[in-house]
Amino acid sequence: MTSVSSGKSFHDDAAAALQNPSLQAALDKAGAGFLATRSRAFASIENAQALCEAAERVRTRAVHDMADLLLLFEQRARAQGVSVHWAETAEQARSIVLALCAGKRRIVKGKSMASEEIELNEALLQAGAEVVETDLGEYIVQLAEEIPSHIIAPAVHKTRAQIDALFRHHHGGRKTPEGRVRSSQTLVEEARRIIRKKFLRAEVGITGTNMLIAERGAALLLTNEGNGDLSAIMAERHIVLAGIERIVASEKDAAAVLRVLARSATGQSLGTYVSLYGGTGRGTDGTEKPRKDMHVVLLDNGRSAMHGGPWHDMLRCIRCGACLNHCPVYTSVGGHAYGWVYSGPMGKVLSPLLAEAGTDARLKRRVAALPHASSFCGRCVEVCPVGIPLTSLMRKLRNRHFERPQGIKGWKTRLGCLGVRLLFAHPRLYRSLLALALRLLKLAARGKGHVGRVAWLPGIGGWTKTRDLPVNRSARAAITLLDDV
Amino acid sequence: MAISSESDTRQNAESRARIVARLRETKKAKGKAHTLSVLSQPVLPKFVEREQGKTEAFVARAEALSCRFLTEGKTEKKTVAKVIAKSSVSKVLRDFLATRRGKKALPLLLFDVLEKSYWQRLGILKNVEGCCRPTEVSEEVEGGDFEATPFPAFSLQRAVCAIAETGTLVFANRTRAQALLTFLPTVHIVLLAERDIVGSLEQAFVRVPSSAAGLWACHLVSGPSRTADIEQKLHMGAHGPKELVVLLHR
Ligand code: SF4
Repeated sequence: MTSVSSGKSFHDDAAAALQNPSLQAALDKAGAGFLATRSRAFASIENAQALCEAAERVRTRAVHDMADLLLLFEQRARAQGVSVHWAETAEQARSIVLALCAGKRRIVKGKSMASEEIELNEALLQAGAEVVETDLGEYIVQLAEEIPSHIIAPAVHKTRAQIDALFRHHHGGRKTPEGRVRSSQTLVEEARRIIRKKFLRAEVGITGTNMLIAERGAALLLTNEGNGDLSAIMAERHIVLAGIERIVASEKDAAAVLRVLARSATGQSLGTYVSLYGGTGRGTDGTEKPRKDMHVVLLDNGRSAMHGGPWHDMLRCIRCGACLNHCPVYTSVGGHAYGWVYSGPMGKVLSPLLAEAGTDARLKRRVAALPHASSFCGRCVEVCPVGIPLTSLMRKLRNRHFERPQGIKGWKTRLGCLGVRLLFAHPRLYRSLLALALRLLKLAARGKGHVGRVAWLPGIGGWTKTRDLPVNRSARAAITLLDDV
Repeated sequence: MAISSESDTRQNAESRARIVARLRETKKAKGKAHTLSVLSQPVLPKFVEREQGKTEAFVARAEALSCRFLTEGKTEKKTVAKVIAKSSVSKVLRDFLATRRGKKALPLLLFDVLEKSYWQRLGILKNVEGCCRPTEVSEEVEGGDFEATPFPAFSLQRAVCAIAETGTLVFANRTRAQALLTFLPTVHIVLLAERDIVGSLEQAFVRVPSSAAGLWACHLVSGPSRTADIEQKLHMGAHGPKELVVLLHR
């Protein structure tokens, strides 16, 4: 499994995604559902705005006080017998986890974006361990050797027939007669049976966390399937992988975040299972002998560099996925095109910043272009429960991308930028050139077969390849207006 | 263990120092733009503020999440009927289990060894004989024996409290065996006292003991385990219980 997708750029992968009929159908189906459930969840409470503001204040404070809260968390967690490890880079985090898994072969995993960020599965597999993703959607994409296409619904692009075939291939058993596909109920039960065996034999359970609660020294885990909990409970060793910005001060603060988290993600008032883990468990014989050991790996990987700077606000993100579900780009191309674990509007901001901290030059180049893949419609900003100004962060990232010497490539683009700068600085020149351009457009629109439309324009071929430029009445009106000036 | 060796500890300390230093430095740069006296009072959804009617709210929300409340009568729809006398808990449970008696073998009814005397006092363990096999979960059953019986049918557990705001049951598990009762069985049967229903999430967290008081893990459970990962169709019992059954008593 790899977390980088096939094509060279967002551009290529997005184009491929748009041509993929089964992905398009799945995205359509899933998209509408997410929007409806979310809006229902918020419409049913009168003071939704106030709840979001409370969550935003909690996150703002947590990010501001991150250093002190992390130290408090470490102190409390240690007092309860939990080991806390600090990792500055993805590589360090990987080697910490590998050391903790040394000599252990059977590993079960709950969903964790941080583990995908550091490409943990590959490292564990290379070390000879068996790693099983236990979230049903993640399990399906793991069997298919693909990557999740959606953060909340990882296997949304797979049809039931595809999943049935996949299960037959990997779980063995009889072949079904041609043309018959088992019901989703049967498939869910088969997966339950197979994965249950993995839980019972697991030596290490690795999970992510939604929040680290400083005062309690505990990690909070939210799931609907209960797979994260079985991963945490069944194995002798539980490893929690947490980005340092997951910290919050107290349970009271956690409650404020929980109120908007599940509502934004799936429209539930709370996830089915919300668990706090912060100890080693005692034996039922009353002895003090710990039954388990628990480790928390605190992952920086570029986050502390965002702190206090222009990207500070992004650290508030609670990974609810609302901005993805409401993004016209994301809902058209899906998650794969973004080329990394974080997708949608939050990914367009986060991926370039986190990749900078790493050493993967190819990844850096690829995700640096992500902030450009936005129409700035601003729906993400509207729905973000913790008020992250995603579009203005993207704009800042675009500016920075262009300020850098390697940002603007090719003499054509540079010449173009120079020209635009010149035009915008001289309004008269601009106006007369615009009038000329509009007249030319009108002429161009007289061509055969597309009266009133321009099929191709020099310089913006990429844009006119998939659509015609209409030269309609408003364009003509614009010319009249300009003539009057 | 490699991780506790001298050099690793040193590396851990160095990483910690560098990360904390970076965060501290930039915190100064950010100034005191943020008022830190946030949330002296929690902000609750409007509907939570009523203290009255907590029971109705809890029952309605839990049922919407596919929880099932056992009653004495058969077709009672009213909430009052869902709050049963403590003395009838044992009988109601027996009646329920009788409807689920397997054809071949009696199903297991798992309970925590530390709670044995409590269930005995309620008369449950004797009363359910013939409908199921009450089995205590202790050290030995952990891990090993669950393999022999990979699908324990029922488990019986007490909730510390329940949350009206979300229809949630709260478990404070001190041992791993207790946590298994919450997640492994097919049907999770929960005993809850009406006076333990609280209004909000915050009030529930106050009731959860600290780790110093012996807590290992706390679980907020809202309905049975579920998944919609295959074609967005909702199914119960993804990995955890397929059914969540509540005995709510006065
Ligand atoms: S940026 Fe906002 S909407 Fe998007 S995932 Fe993060 S918290 Fe949710």
